[in-house]
Amino acid sequence: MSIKKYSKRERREHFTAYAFILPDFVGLIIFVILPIVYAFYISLFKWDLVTDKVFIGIENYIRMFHDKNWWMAMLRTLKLTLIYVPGLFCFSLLAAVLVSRIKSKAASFIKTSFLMPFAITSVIASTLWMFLYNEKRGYLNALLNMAGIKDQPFIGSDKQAMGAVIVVLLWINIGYNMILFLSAIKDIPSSYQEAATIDGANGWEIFRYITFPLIKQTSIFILITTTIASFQVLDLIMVMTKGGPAKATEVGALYIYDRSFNMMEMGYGSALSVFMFLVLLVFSFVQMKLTREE
Amino acid sequence: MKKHRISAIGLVLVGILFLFPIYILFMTSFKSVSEIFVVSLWPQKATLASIQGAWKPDFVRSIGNSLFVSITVTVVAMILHAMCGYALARMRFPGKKAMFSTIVSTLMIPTTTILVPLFMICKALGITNSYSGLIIPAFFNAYGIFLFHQFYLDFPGELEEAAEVEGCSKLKLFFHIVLPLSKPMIVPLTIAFFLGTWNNYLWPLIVNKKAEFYTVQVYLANLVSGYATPWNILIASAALAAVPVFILFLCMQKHLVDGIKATGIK
Amino acid sequence: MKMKRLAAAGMAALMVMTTTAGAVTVRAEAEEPVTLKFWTFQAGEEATYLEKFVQEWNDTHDSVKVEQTVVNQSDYITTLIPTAYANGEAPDVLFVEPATFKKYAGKGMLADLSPYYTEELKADILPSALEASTYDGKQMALPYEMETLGLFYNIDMLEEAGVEPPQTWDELYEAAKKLTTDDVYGLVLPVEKTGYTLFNFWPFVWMAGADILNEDDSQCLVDSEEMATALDYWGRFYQEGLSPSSLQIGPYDIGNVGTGMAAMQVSGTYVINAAESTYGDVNIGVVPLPHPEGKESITVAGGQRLAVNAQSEHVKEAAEFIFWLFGDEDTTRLTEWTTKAKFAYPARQSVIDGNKDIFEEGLRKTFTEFYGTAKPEPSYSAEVTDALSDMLQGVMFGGSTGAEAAAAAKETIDSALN
Repeated sequence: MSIKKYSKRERREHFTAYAFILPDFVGLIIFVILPIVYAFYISLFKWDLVTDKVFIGIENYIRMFHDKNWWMAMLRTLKLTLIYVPGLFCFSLLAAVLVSRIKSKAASFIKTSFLMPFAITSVIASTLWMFLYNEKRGYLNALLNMAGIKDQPFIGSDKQAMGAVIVVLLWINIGYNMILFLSAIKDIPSSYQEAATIDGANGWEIFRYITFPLIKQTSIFILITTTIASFQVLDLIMVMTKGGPAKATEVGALYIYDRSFNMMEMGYGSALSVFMFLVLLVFSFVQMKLTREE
Repeated sequence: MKKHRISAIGLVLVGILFLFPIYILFMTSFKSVSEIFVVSLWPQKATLASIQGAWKPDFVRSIGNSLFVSITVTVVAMILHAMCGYALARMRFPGKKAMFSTIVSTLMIPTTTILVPLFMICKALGITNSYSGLIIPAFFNAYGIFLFHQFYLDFPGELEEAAEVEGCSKLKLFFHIVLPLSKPMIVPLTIAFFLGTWNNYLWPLIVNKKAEFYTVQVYLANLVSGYATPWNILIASAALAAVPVFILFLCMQKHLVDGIKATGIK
Repeated sequence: MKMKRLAAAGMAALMVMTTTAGAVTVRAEAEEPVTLKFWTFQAGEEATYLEKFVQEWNDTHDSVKVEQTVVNQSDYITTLIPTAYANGEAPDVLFVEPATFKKYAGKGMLADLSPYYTEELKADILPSALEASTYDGKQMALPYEMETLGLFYNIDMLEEAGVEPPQTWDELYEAAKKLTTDDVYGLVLPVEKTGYTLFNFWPFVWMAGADILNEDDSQCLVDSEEMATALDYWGRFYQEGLSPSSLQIGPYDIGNVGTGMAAMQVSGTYVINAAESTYGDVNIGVVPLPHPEGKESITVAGGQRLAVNAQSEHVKEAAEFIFWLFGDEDTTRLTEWTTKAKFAYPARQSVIDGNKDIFEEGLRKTFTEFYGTAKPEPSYSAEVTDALSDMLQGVMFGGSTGAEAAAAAKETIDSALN
């Protein structure tokens, strides 16, 4: 590595930059990175949280490759991601674009009402949605019955449960991501749009050639963070279905939790986490690469 | 213009749909015990009994704890992450790429895996069973850094150039010009951090065993224990616990997304 | 300007934090008497009585203080206890139930309590309860309550439908079918993959004549025809929509019958207080669990036990506390616990004998009549429990037949046993 000569001004900039980053970086090292490194270390041991750790090398990882339940759980995670992430992305982007064009009072009502569910925690959200999903005494089935459709089991069915969970996730998160998109859209100088309108561009063309390219950074951010979040959905599933019925909602994160704490196999659980971490790393890398090329 | 009206009406309808479960929450808090599991759009016989039953000293204290913890975390995190995100996006220095990648990759580990080591660290620092244990680890979250970074990437460069010409230091530039102009991101991030902390359950549950520091989520979860859940009290407590957050939203509503333009530049 | 104010607020907050943290440490150093950490998850009346007992202990014992923390039951088992053990922060006094007993005892988490048992106490505790608290020939827990299951039902609903309280499996099935309407479930059984669901399933296993493991736990016996019968019978209620596939009110909460959401519910002694108070205006009855034609009804006896953390620095004091609580010569506390705080059968013969009249009141009478048919809830390792839970989920929601589910469970358990 060659040592570059930096000018005084450059060196001053470096110093300021490090000073800006330092408090956060030190905190992250202590409270996030250190625990992650520890998790990796644990993944090389057999550890039940109580008795002494036994070093077993990569045995936990070998076990993972043969663990059919784990791969099925990861497949369910993938299914959730593939439905939830595009759903959230498209719906919040669409809502943001439409809202940005509304000049009336309605805009603030829409923003607030979309955002409200974001304030509801998993425990309460699941309690609330049980009022809607309840098979015989639920609001949703009451509505369906009026339309002549018979009662649906929703979270009680191995076919509908995942969908029912995803609906609640969307309900909670769409508003917030819409606001993020809106913030980005509002930063586009209105002169761009006006010019395009004069040139005879329609709404779609304005979106396709002006709005969308100019909110790229926000789009990347939302895509990556919601992908990560979809891999880590845990609270809501824990309170709504505990992974059931018949494992229909037993996603990877829940499987890790169950192994680590319920079965008290912390070493194995950590190995699974490390694997999931690597999967996400690849996912995010691909997402960044793909979006960069466009 | 007509098209906009149609989409406005459509979105308002969706908005009403979004509010419906929340309406159920508040409406049900006025129902009597026997009525809770009956499908109806309003209580047959409205009563204040559930809400009165929910309003206990322990509940109020847990709301106070949650407010204190969430506000502190939000304020401190916002400043730390804005600085960090800004430096990563707009300044040149060696090791920048590696630092940014490291920070973003910390988002990818499932939180459950780091619970145990995180607890060990907090125990070593002597901050378990205290406000510090609830607050300090919550500051450090790459989400905020990442979002500020993305935002500052798109930030108008002319501002900095102008400041540099005037001989303004980076520090001054950041606190006097950049930060005030970051409102479009600070507002949604305030919401994200405040709610992330307010709604966090697993960490407060593990790090603190002292009832005096219980946060509202832990309090609510403890209501569901035992063989007979007091449904009316649980629902009324949940509704009451949502009120401070809704007030925050209403206060912020005015500031929700005015772009940089609206703040007076360009 | 605003930012400056925010920054000032942040600094102020930081200062508050540091002072609070400091205060905690100072207090910890100043304490003289031994402090026992005791986490409880009981709610309602039970919580009130536990608090009262702890208060009583603290008032009468100067050198050993009990510090009670109220937590939530599902977190207690799934998250709090494991995390606390990993950090050496676990409470000195523990609650264990059959579903967790083997797991904890097997990992050496529980202290040997044998030295603290007097001969009188050993003789007083019901033999099956004592047996179920023994691991490797040592007493690892103090049993104090026995909770048994029965079939609760809404008397008016059954009368209206012209259904007699069911006594056999076929009658139960027919009754559930008749009572199921657009608005009401015939029979509530547990739904989720939890230890509680298994607890409810045990009597059906035994009544069908099936078993899980052989005498010395070396062989798995679940792939029997009897087990397949029990599984198929149990699964049918869900498959045919007679039992709910998701529950808004927990399966251990009599609210299902109390609010009219269901006509019948398998539940335990612990719901009697709520049935009499919260749902006092609903006509609720109870019968023994229905049995297969020509066989006897069997129920299960579970319940919490008290144990001491083997990592504790104060094993002796903690043991003294739990034996004072429910193992004392003075049986007032155990009596209050099993008759007032909740309804459960005390695990001690002397307390049962001394309170005969209470166990004859209302719904308790029926439970007392079939009390003798109770078998203790078995305890298995975490792997076996997990496989059995998956087996149940399979017939309930996975579309498996009893035989298929049992075969899958056998495979998993076999590999866990080796």
